[in-house]
Formats: sequence, structure tokens, C-alpha cells
Amino acid sequence: MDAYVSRDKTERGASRMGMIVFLASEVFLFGSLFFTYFYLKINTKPWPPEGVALDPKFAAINTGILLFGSLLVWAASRLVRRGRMAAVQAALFTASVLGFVFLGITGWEWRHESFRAWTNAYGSIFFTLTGFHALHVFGGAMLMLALAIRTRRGKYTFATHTGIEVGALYWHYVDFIWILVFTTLFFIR
Amino acid sequence: MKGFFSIGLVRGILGGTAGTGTGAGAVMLIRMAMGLPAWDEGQVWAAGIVAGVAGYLIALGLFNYWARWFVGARDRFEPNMPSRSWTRFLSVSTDHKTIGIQYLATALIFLPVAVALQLIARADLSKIGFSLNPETYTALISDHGIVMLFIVAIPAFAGLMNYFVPLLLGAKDMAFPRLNALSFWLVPAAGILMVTALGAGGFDTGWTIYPPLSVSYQPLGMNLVLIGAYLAGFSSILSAVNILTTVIKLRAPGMGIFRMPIFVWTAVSTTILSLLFTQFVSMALLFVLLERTLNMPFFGTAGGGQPLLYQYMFWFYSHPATYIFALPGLGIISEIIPVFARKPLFGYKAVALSSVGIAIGGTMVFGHHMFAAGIPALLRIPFMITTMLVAVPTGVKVFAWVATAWGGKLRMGSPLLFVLSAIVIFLIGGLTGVIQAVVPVNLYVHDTYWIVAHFHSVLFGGFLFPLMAGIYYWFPKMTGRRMSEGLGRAQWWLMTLGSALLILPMFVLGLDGLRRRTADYSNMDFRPLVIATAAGGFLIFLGLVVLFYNILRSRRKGAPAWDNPWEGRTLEWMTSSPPPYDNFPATPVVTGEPYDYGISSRPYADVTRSNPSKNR
Amino acid sequence: MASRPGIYRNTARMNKRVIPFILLAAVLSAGAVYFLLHIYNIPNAASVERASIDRALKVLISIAAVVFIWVVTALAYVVIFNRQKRGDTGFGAHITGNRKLETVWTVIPLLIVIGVSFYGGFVLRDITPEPPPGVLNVDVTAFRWGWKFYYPDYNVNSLYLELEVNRQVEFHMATLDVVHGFWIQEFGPKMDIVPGMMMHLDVTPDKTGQYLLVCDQLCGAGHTGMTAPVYVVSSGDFQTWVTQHKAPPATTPASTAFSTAGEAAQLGSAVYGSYCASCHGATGQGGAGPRLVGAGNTLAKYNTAQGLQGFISAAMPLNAPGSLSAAEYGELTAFILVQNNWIGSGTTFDPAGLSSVPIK
Repeated sequence: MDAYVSRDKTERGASRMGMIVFLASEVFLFGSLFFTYFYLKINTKPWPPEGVALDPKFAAINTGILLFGSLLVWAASRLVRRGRMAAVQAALFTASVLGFVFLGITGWEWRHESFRAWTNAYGSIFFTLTGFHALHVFGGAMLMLALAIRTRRGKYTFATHTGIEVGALYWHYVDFIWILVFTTLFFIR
Repeated sequence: MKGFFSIGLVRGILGGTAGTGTGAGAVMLIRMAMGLPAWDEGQVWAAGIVAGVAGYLIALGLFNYWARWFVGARDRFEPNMPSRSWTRFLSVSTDHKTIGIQYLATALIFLPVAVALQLIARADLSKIGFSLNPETYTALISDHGIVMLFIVAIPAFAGLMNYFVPLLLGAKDMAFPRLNALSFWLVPAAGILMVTALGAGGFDTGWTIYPPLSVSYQPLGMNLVLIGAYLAGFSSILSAVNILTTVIKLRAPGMGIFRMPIFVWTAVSTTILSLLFTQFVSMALLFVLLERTLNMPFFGTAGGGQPLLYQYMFWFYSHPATYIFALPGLGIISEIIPVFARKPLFGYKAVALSSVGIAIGGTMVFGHHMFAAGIPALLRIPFMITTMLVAVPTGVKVFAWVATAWGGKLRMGSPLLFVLSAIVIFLIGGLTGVIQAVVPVNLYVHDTYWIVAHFHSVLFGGFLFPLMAGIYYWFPKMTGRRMSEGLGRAQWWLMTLGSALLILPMFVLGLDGLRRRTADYSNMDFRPLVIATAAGGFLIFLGLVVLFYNILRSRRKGAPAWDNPWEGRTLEWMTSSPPPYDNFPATPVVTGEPYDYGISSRPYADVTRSNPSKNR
Repeated sequence: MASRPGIYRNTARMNKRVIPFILLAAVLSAGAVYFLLHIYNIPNAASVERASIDRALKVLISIAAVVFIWVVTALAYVVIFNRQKRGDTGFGAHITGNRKLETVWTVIPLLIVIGVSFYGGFVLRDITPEPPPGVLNVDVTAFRWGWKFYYPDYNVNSLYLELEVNRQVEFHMATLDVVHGFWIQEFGPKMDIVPGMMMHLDVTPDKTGQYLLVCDQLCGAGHTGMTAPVYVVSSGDFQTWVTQHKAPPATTPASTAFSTAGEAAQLGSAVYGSYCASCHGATGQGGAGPRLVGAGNTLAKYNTAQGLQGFISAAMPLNAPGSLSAAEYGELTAFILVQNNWIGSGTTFDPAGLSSVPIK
């Protein structure tokens, strides 16, 4: 029915480069959002508008969560080379759970913001920026989950584990973007 | 009946319908749960369409592999040889050659549709006893523009790049064949959305979709176009990832970057641009959609938004986009001239690097679209200078083409004829581009037919004619048969004369003061020239009819092409026509230069030697 | 390469044939330049700026035409004389490049475009003059689909443009809805009018006559018809026109009716409720129309209360501009000023002295 062909030989050699190229594009995706943020900030007075009060407490907790997740994923990509697959699986699974916890906290915070996406331009870019990031965290958490499952089912060994390395790359990227989002929204404002 | 459902497209359409219903229903339920009236045209349709596209992709089977990958299931046995029936083009295939033809066919189906939309508008403007209301007129020209750019120009070259970049590199396929399939199948969905937008009230914003006009005053059709353009942009980003990775990773052994054919160089330049800058236009379009459906005031001044923000984000992409459309075309010209002049490409390195130069330069010129739009006065001069600097690498290419042909032994086949027209028309576009980059001149010609004439000459010279040249040049490789030379010449005459008639009067109309995008004019002196442009468009349409007849006829009855009908040196000619599933009998090993015509003792590559150590 | 005499034979033959083509290109370019600079005229020029632009256009098109003619002649030569003969299966000369030649055709275009940039900069300076004292100010309001004009120096409202010949005019432009474009072809430059921004354009008409202002940015179904007549008249005729159209001395009776801004604003609040609230919201928070009160309003573009009042009087309410009395417009201005705390409600409100009240 589907004329799918297994071409893993070509794919494995290229998948890391593919991820790097894809992340270059992703940098521009968030670049466009940050551009929007700063363009609005420069041209709209006052910025942030009255009635916008952000509490950095939860975002700070979220930062910690993501950083810890990143650490775990880094550890997983090291441990896999020594073949400690049980530890790798646990680390990946925890990273995935942390991703979902991050999403939960973000959702809770969104509900309690003093403004909505349609209140003003600040609300629009705030929710779009954090929303796009949350979407990436969701993607990353699902990816970590998949990697954990695949590790469990013995798809990776100390010799063949491109998937984990490539996935780790993505997760670090999502983290890095969060640092930028966090700094921009709560410190540069 | 089972055979009918085995066609991917049929399942895709059913899945799309189901998805639309689900998405629309879900939004209505959420709205009711929030205590709002269930029906909101914008939101319900937007969600329905997005879910519909997802359903269509799932039903096509594009995510089957990834779903199995996710749970770590055992790789399913996948048959190695695709069917030879033409219906394989209606189902998902991961073969880059099939996908290339799918892309090309999609573009070639939408091309005459988009031309026809404009011809209707031209007939109205010619005042030949037929008249449209202004909404219809603007909807037609707007749809013409956006379909041409997103569904014709980008996919057509994506098709040629898909088919020929792996072949020119000596690779077996693209780096990510499944991703490749996904990027293709987004395009027909986008195309259908953009054309059906005309039935959903159309949109009268022009292809630039400037807010607040696009936000506050447009019917549902606008949403369809926004989602369609977003999908097309997404497809173009994914395909850029794929092509770039392929070029970086899958070159045949021995192929250093300065042994890559120029078409690959231009493919790299193009894909870098679309990889990075498509994000900006996608985001801008998404903002418009969000403002339309959820009242998020990105651009509305009432909520503190900035209308000019859109223009910046739009032109960040849409200026480089002209190079996205044109660069592969310039690559095709550079491929064809040495073959048909029987002479090495003059200044290979300069031509190769000029593509990169054009790409880099092209990212720094967006401001010239906004000279009259209130960008800070201080920025006008730097943008004027950067715009002009792009003329330098472009000039390098043109001079190199002439020098390549100079003293050669030209074979006047139809690919070369199209290339010659392309050079002349592109030269007009490039030179007028320098003229209108001069700020004071720009303030006069901005938004007149001069601009329309300029970008049509750039796109005819950089896209349309090179595309035709590419089709005539590579058709034998894709099908194993030659196209009719006589019909090719007829088409070349029609399209060359048509282009001259279409473009040149428009420059005069612009200088004489005719605004673009107006449904009417009172100065009857304009009428003869307007009729000339309409006639030019009609000739081009006839040319397309000839092309289609030629393709359909030659596919069955054309003379056999054998492996290397044009006696070219590059890798695609070193395999059979059409190439086998894995492209080459053995992994090619590159040992020479791609355009070294005249030294037969130094072939470009060896495809017979088996090289197990470098077997990728 | 010396061992390949064939190349030299080819080159020698080429040179003789090339001469007529060089002559042809030279004659054609001379002809084109002569035609463009001395015969061709872009129709309907009627301003100082337009004359500069036309000259620049002709010079630039001449340069482009020369480049075009030489390249196309070279191509024509190649196509005519460098064809492969029937039965010939050989190759052209094996020339892969020429560093010197490539440098030349990189550097020369570079010099040309740098020169053109400088030239463009100077022309730009010529067509964007500073407004001299005595410049004629015109406030332009664009909306779907029409134009309104207000002459703040003379307190004149108009639906067409009346301009004085040889007197520089500065247009101050704002839009009520979408992006519009301001263009009078006879005057040359154009300017987009972006929502939330005040755009300025200076021109000096130098020929009397009737012209047409058009919108050049697509703004919807009525775009084509969004035009307004432009009359350029002599100095005397302009003065006559001004006296005939001057609005009756506006708020003299009203200014005595209330002493403080607060009082005026109270009256203005009622006017606001009946004419403005439907679009701008009950408290000026914005709706279909832009926000007028509080953070995020864009009224600062009017600089002073006088500018604001001039705009409101000329363009509001959108469905019937100019339909309220002068006193009512004064009260509305007071209302907006007080609501935004741009004027204390206890201060004296003098409609004639609004130019001294800044809007931040």
C-alpha cells in the first residue's frame, strides 16, 4: 500500500546534520518572535502596558525544571556510550516527565495572568512567544518519551544511538530558547 | 473498490473531510462550554481546516513510519520497487524522483490556473465589453500572485531540485525520504486552499496581505489563503532542511564543493534563504490569522499593535524570496549553456560563489520595499546601496554566461533557446531593479506598473524561462524520451513574444502613471498598452498549452533519448533514462571537473567502478 | 595552451567579424541615450521634485540601456556566428576562465553602482527639502475611500486640494483605517499612510492646472476610485479661495460659555456619548475605531491640542465628517484632553489657545 522503503543507511549518517540544519531554521522562528517583541517594545508606549504584572516565581521554577531535564538528557547521551541502558532509560523518561511538569506549570500560570492574549499587543506576543515555546517543549517531551520507549525496547546500544544524540541536541536547544524567553520577558521586559 | 482506496489521494481527501468536521465540531463544543455562541465563522473554519489538513496527512499515511518509530515497533517490510503505473504519483512515495515529478506536476497544474485568473482580470482591464466588479478583480489578481509564488514558483523548483540534486550529487536519494514526502503533500493542500479561497469570498489585499486591510475587512477567503501560505511555507522549510543536508552529507566520493554542478550551488543558496527567512513570513501570516480569529492585536493600533511590523516581517522573507524563486533558475541556465555551447563554464568558481553572494546580499535589502512606507529616513540610503550591490554578483553570472557561449559551438536546441530568452529578460529585470533601487526614482515608480513589469521580468527571466529550459533539458532523463523540437520552438516563439508584449508596455504604463492593482482607469491613452499586456499573457497561456501537449505526446511517442541525449558531462547523464530506483549502477566516484568540455580524456566521474569502502 | 593553434585561428576570425557588432552596439547605445535624454518625455510633470526625478530616471535608464544593448549584441553575435555546423561533433575552445576579465566585470559594475548610489543620494536630497518658513501646511486624512484636507494656517476644510503655484507645500498625513498611499503623479514622490503614524511629504508645484490625487496602496474595493482633485492656482487665486472657504470664526461664543476645561469636558462627554462612543467605546477604550483614552492611544501624533481638534473637526464622525458645530468640536477636544490628563480640569479652557497645549 505505502511504498515505504527502509533507507536507514542514508538516514543515520545524515540525521545529526539534519537536526543542526533544522535548528538553524528554528533559531529564526524564535528570532521572528523576539523581533516582534522588541519591535513592539520600542514602538508601543508604555511597555509593558498598565495592568501587566508578571511574577517571575513560577517561571524561575520552570527554568530550574528545564535545566535539570537538560542535565539528565546530557547524562543519558554520555551513559549510552558506556552501555548503561537502564540508567539511560530512566534519565530520558524523567526528562520527559519534567517536560510535562513544565507544561503544567505554564498552563497554570497562563490561567492566572492579569491579561489575556486579546487584551493588548503585549498579551498577544506574550502568549504567542510562550505558546510557541511550550509547543516545542511538548514536542521535546514526546521525543524524550519515544527515546525512552525505544531504549527500553532495545533499539539503541552503546554503538548505535544516533537517535539519542540527535534528540539531546533538540532538548538542549529548547532549553536555550527558554533562557532567552525568560530573560526577555522577566528581566529585559 | 479496494484499488480505488489504495490511492493515497483518495484516502487523503476522506481523511481531510473527517478532520475538518472534527476540528470544527471541537471548536464549537469549546465555545459552547465557554458560554459563547457556538458559531464563529473565522474560528470554526480555521480550526476545521487545520484539523482537516492533519487528517489528510494522517490518512495519506505520512505518519505511519514515525508512529511505529515512536513505540519502537519492528521495522515493517517495505517493498523495494514502486509500481510503474501512473497512479503511483497519487500516493505517498519516498523516492525522490517520484516526489520530484509530483512537485513539478502540481506546479504545472496550478500554473495555467494562476495565469487564467490573471487573464480574466486582464480582459476586464482591456475594456472589451466585459466587466468585473472591483472586489472580484482584486481577488483574481491577488490569488494570481499568491498561487504563482507559493504553489507554482517554489514547488516547481522544489521539484527540479528534488529530482536532480541527488542525481547531480551521485546520491541514492535525499537524506530524509519520508520528510521529503511530507513536504510535498503539504503543497497540494495549500494550493487547493488558496484556489478555493476565491469561492469563500476571495480577498482583496494583493499578495502582500498588508494589515489592517487583511485583518478587518476581509471575508473567510483570507483565512484560507493565510493557512495555505503557512502550509506552503512549512513545506518549503522542511524541504530546505532535506536538500541542505543532502548536499552536505550525500555527495559522491571525490566531489569537493568546487566540483559540485552550479545547479547544486544555487540549490544550496536558495535553500539557505528559505530555511531561515520563511520563518518570518510564516510568523507574520500567523499573526494576521490570530488577529483575525482571536482578536490578538499584533497590528491593530487600538490594542497597541504596529501595522508596520507586518511589513518588516513580510519583506524580511519576501525580498530573499525573489532570489528563492530565481536562483535555481540561474543555476539551470548555468547548467545548460556549457552543454549546448560545447565549452567549459567560464569562471566556474566566480559563478558558484556569486550564487552565495546573491543570497547573502539578498537578505540585506528588504528595506527597499518600504522606501515610501515610513521607514526611518536614515535607513533609505543604506538599503539603496545594499540593493545595488546585489547587482554585482548577478552581473558576474550574466557576463560569465555570455563568455561561456562566446567562441563555443552552439547547438540551438529548445533548452538553449529558452535560456537565451531567459538571459535577455532577466537582464531587463536586473537592470530595472538597479534603477528603481534609487530612492527618489523608487518614490515615483513605487506601486505603479513599472514595478509589476520589473518583477515579472525577473520572474520570467529567473523562473519561467529557466523552468521551461529545465523541463526541455531534463525531460529525456525523467522519461527516457525526447520532447518534440518543433513544438518546443513553437512554444518558445509564443512565450518569448508573449513576454515582450507583456513586460515592455508595462514599463511605459508605469512611467506614464498607471497605478498597479486598480480595477479601472480613466485615461484612455493607457488602453492600447493594457490590451498589449493582455495579449502577451494570452500568448504565454497558448505557449503553456503547447507545452502540455508536447509533454503528453512525447511521454508516449517521443524519440528514445538513451542515457545522454545532450552529451552532457554531469552525473545525471551517467545513468539510464529514467534512472533506476537507486539511481546509479554503482556509487559514482568523481575524478574530474563538471564542465570540462573539450577534454574527453578527463571524464567527470566513474560510475562503473565499485567502491565498497565508500558505499553510502 | 600554445600547443593548441586552433584556438588562435578561431580568435583571429572572431575579431574581424566582431567589428560590425561593436559598431552596431555603439550606434544603438548612442541612439538610445540620445532618445532617452533629448526626445523622450515622461508625461505630465508639474513640480520641482518631479523634474529631478524625471531627470534621474532618464539618466538611469540610459545607463541601463547601454549595458543591455552591449550584452544583447554580444549574445546576438554568439548566436549568429558561434553555431555548431551540421556534422561537427567537436568542442568549443577549452577556456575555463580569465582572472583579469572576471575582475574587470566585477569591479566596473561595482564602481557603476557606487556612482549611481551617490547620484541617487544627491537627487534624494533635492527632492526632500526642509520646510522653509511660509510653507503651506495641509493636514491630509485618508479613509476608505476618500480624502479630506484641512489647512491649519487658514482654518479651511476642504474635500479637494487647492495649492499655490511655486509655494512649497507640506502634507501631514494620517489614515483612519488601513494603509493608504498618497500620490499625485504630476508631483512625483509618493508616501504610504500607515495607521498610527503621521507621515509627511513636501513638494513644490511649479505649473498651474488640475491634477489628480490617487491612493496607490490597495485598500479594498473602492481603491480605484479613491481620488481627489488637485488644483494648482496662482498666488492671488489662492488667497481668494482661502477667504471664501475660511470656516466661520469658530468658538468665540462658546469660549465664554465655560471657564474651565472640566466644564467644557462635561459638555463634551455628552457629545462623545452620542457621536463617538459607538466606535471608540464608552470610555474611549477603543472598538472599531482606535483607542482615545489611556495607554496605547496614538493621539500623540497630533503634537498639540490644536492639531487634535483640527483633525476631529475635519474628519469626525467618520460617517458624517464636519457635521458637528464648532462648539461641539471644542467640547470634544476638552473631553479627550481631560480624560487623558493632558490638561487639568481646573485650568482655563481657551479654544483659541489650544496650540499651546501639548499632547504627550
